[in-house]
Amino acid sequence: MSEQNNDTQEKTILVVDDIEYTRQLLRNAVLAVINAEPDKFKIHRYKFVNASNSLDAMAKIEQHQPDLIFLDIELPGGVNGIEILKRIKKQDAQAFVIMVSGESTIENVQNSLKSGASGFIVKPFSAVKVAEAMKNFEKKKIK
Amino acid sequence: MRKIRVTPLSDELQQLKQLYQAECEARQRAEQRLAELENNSLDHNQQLQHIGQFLEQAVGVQIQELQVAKGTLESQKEEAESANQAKTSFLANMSHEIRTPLTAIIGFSQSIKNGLIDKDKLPEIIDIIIDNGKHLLNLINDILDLSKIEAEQLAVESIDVDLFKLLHELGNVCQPNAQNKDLSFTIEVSQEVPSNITSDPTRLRQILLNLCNNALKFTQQGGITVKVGYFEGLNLLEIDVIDTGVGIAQEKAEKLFTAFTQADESTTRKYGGTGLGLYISKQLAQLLGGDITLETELGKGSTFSLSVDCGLAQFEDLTYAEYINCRSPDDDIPQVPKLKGSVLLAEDNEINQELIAMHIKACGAQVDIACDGQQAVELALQSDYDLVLMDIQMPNMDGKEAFETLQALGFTKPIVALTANVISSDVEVYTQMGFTASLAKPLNLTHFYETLGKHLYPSDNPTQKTAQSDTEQMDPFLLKLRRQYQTEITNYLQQIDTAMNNNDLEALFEVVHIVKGTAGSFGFDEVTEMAGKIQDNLRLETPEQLKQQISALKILLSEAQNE
Repeated sequence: MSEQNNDTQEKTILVVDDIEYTRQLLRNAVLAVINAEPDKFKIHRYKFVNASNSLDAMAKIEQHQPDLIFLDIELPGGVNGIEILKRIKKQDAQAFVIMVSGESTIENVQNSLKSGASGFIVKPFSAVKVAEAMKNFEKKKIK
Repeated sequence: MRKIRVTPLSDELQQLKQLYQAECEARQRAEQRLAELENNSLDHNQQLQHIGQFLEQAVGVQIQELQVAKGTLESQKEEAESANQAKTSFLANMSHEIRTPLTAIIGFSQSIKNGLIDKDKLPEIIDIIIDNGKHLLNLINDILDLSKIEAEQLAVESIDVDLFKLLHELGNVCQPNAQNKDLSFTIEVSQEVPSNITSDPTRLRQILLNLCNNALKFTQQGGITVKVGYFEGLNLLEIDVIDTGVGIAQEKAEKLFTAFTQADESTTRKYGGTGLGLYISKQLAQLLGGDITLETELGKGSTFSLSVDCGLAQFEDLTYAEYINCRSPDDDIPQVPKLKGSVLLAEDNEINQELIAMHIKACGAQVDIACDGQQAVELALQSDYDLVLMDIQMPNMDGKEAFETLQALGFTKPIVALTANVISSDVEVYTQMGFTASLAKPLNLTHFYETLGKHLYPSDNPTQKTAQSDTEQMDPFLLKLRRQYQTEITNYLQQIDTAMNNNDLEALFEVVHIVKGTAGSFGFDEVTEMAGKIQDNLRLETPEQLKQQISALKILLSEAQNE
């Protein structure tokens, strides 16, 4: 559910990456951002949900209807991140997905944008980078 | 005696007589008629004659008119042909003017490359190359101005002009040149002249430099006086550039303000310059709501009078003389600022890459280079740059597309457009797209350093890389203080929010100042740097820039809190 009329509603943030350490880093970065500017992103109450592979991710999406999704582009298991992104957007066109990658090749960046991603961050990422990727979430601009 | 019968005969006679009379009458009538006809015929002849004369006259007039028209057309044709000839020879002349400095630049550079120049001669030769380059640039700018004026594409600004500063800078430029020729150069500003006017400072400077340089060129003894006055009635600024030079002959004076004139060629060759300056200056003056007029006397000197509309003018009690005394000695040579930070330069031309990178490194900052828009996007996402310099014309992906891609991904760091386009409508496009600013190529060093200074960090107070950044090795007491500090951060965040909401710059400055002073002691270097940058630029930034930087500071503080 991405159409939030009530700002005090709890927001669900889904982090999809096969490595726990990366998920932790992402959560920390997002926390720093939210705590710094709760009014900006309208996230006052939140809950983190994790997934480590594509099947898990799709299941969690169905179950929790996350407001914000961080998706690893290099998710192992045969299906690449862009494909998963497309499936997510197909299921919910309003989904706000930020791609996470170890590198920023222009093909990946352009494909992500074309397939409906709202942001793209490169590991290792700083909180500032995460804030930038979430910039459009601020205005709830969703492709 | 026999009686003769006469009666029938008299009857016949009578009849004959009657007939004869009738005939006579008829003949009379006929003669009358003939006379009438003769008269008519005479009349008609006269009329025909008149008509004939009239036609002759009319045709004569027509022939005259045609001859006059033919004469006019012929002279117009001559004019057009000579104008065309002038344009052709102008082009040929310009082509020569452009090739000459290029020959020097390429020639001398090759000589240096081939080791043909002595080491001690090197500085002199390099100066020659630079001078020729600058002359060429001036020439090309003039030609571009000219073509814009011809196509009526030239637009002038209407902004605040610090008149006293402009005049002072004019003096700074012309004074040394005058001194070299043992000439005097004085600027006299009368009391009622406004300190600020609304006009186009760049073009105003251009005109004044043109007039003053001309004056300097054609004066061998005596000096140049720049008299500045103000006409309240018409809200006009009048600047007279008076020289004690050779003066100008009447025939030449009339053609002075036209382009493509034959009269200019010999002068150009003898005295140098582009030969286009005065024409351009007059056009510019008119665009600025005024004009340029000339008073000259052969052997005595010339006075070029420039008038421009002042628009909204500001008047101060301070006179120009007092203004001069107040100023500290100016160095107009841009000082290389001491900065640190990282810059991403997106530029496809290898030489420009090296040139611009050199300037950035000279300040002390780091620079990464991208060869096209695609690389620019990749690098911008990969690393944390403080500033992105984006060339617009690049292969594979141009600057605009790269900008849009980054914008779509929420990129918020400042991106400055580098463009050879100086047409204001194009620059408008970049600003509207969201570029932080635009810089014209070739780079003006002063503007370039200004831009770097705005977005990079001053490195006068280098942040010490404290050993305290590693918490495991920290003194337990210090560690405790650090934890305490981390709880303080909540207060700082609140104070920042309050100050921003109340638009209270003073309060904001205070918090940022405190944060800067304290964060460094606990190893939060990034916070210190960010706070330092905000502090130094607080009064120069736009509200947008400030908001972004404060946001970044808050995020860094938040991160520090969780460490």
